Amino acid sequence: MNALEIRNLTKSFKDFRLDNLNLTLPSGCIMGLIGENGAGKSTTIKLILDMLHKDGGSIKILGEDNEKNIMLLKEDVGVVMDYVGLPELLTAKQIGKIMKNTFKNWDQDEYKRLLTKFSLPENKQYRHFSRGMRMKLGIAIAMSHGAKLLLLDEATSGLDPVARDEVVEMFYDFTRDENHSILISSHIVSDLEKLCDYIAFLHKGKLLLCEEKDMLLSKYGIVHCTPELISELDAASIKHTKVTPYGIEAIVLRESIPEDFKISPITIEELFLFMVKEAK
Amino acid sequence: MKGLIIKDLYMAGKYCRTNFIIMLIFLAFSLWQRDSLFIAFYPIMLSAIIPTNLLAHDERCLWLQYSETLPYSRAQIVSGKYIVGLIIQTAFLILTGIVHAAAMNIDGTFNLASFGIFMMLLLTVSMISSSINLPFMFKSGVEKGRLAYYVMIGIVTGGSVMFSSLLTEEIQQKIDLYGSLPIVCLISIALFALSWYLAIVFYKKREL
Repeated sequence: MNALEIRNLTKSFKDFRLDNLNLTLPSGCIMGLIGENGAGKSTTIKLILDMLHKDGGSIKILGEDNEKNIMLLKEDVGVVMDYVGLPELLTAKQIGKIMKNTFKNWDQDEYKRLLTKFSLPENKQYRHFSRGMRMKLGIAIAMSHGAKLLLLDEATSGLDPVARDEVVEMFYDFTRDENHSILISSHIVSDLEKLCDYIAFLHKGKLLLCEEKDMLLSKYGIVHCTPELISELDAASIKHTKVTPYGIEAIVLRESIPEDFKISPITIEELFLFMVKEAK
Repeated sequence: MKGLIIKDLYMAGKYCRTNFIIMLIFLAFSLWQRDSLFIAFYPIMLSAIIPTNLLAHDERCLWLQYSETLPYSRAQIVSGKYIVGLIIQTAFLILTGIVHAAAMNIDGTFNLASFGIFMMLLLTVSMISSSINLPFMFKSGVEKGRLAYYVMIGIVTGGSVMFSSLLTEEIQQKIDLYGSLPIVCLISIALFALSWYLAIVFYKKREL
């Protein structure tokens, strides 16, 4: 079963349009949504949660239409947005009591375990929490009610590198269960590269690509050479070139490059930047 | 929905302490000034705006957006506020009733009919005060909702002034004001129910 199926999703605002978005996230997988600010990542997540009303298309969460019974579906979906809007004067302990009476499958022991793991004080008011602590509390809530799908919108932003690494590891562990899946958007592409099975590039409301990460990395590579050597290559296999003080750096399709050329691995970030520049 | 109610009661305990203190001071003061209906009505009106204050705090801390990630429908989010409002208003109405009845008993002035009229007036004020602003705030947010609320209050006040100027002594004698109080009370309850319904309809259409 697919954890998430988005077909021809469209939403228009005054100055922005999410245009015919198609995404499929199979169960047990992690998909990274990469895009610059305003590309449509948060809009997509809000549409999935029915916080915004779509203009067209369909969204299925865990096989069910998201508009039919979103309330029940949210029992199985853990969400961390780029803000965690909890009341400022409440403590993590009080928030735990609220969530216990909110989710049918709330696991108080797991919540307490995560508070301890993240070193979050139970009796300190939320207003005294740093941004990183707030995000950790949001993650603890999202992971304490037996969710099958996690929707994470910039969930690792505000975390220091050590905490980020720890959280990324937790997300990775979460998908060891083949019924668990994650859709994560982040500006920190290195996190997504480490974590994701699938990568989707969004640019100005349009999906540039959605493919398996390993497939992408095996399809593209980088060649460093002189301008004379690059001219020997098939033009169709060169996707992008950049002049550097040491010669030419080119993003190429690996399969069409002669074996005697040395091809370096490409990073997802390099590929994304290339795609965005090409789209412009 | 229990979680929403618990959250709002926690928040009321933290954010609305001043309201509760003023309400108790006015309640005590109303025992000495029993002729002044305003002093008796004021704490009830204050209790009626507590859900509005809670909604303003929700908006400020982005709870409205966050609650969209939780398994609650829009109707439940609206109903949570109305139920918390009802809990607080009912508790204060009962407290006011008990305190006034006890005071009347102590000075031997207790009269069931007068007491009934007093309680019906309190209930009417309570229902009307909490009916007006919440639908506007759920529709357009607290800031714009407040503006709409002030416009509405202006219309209601202007209308009342016009109505009372038309209410000559002759007409007043023909209408049994006290006899029609139960009907007015029922109308205020209906207004409260309509307000609740409208708030749900408005909030369902709002994009967060």
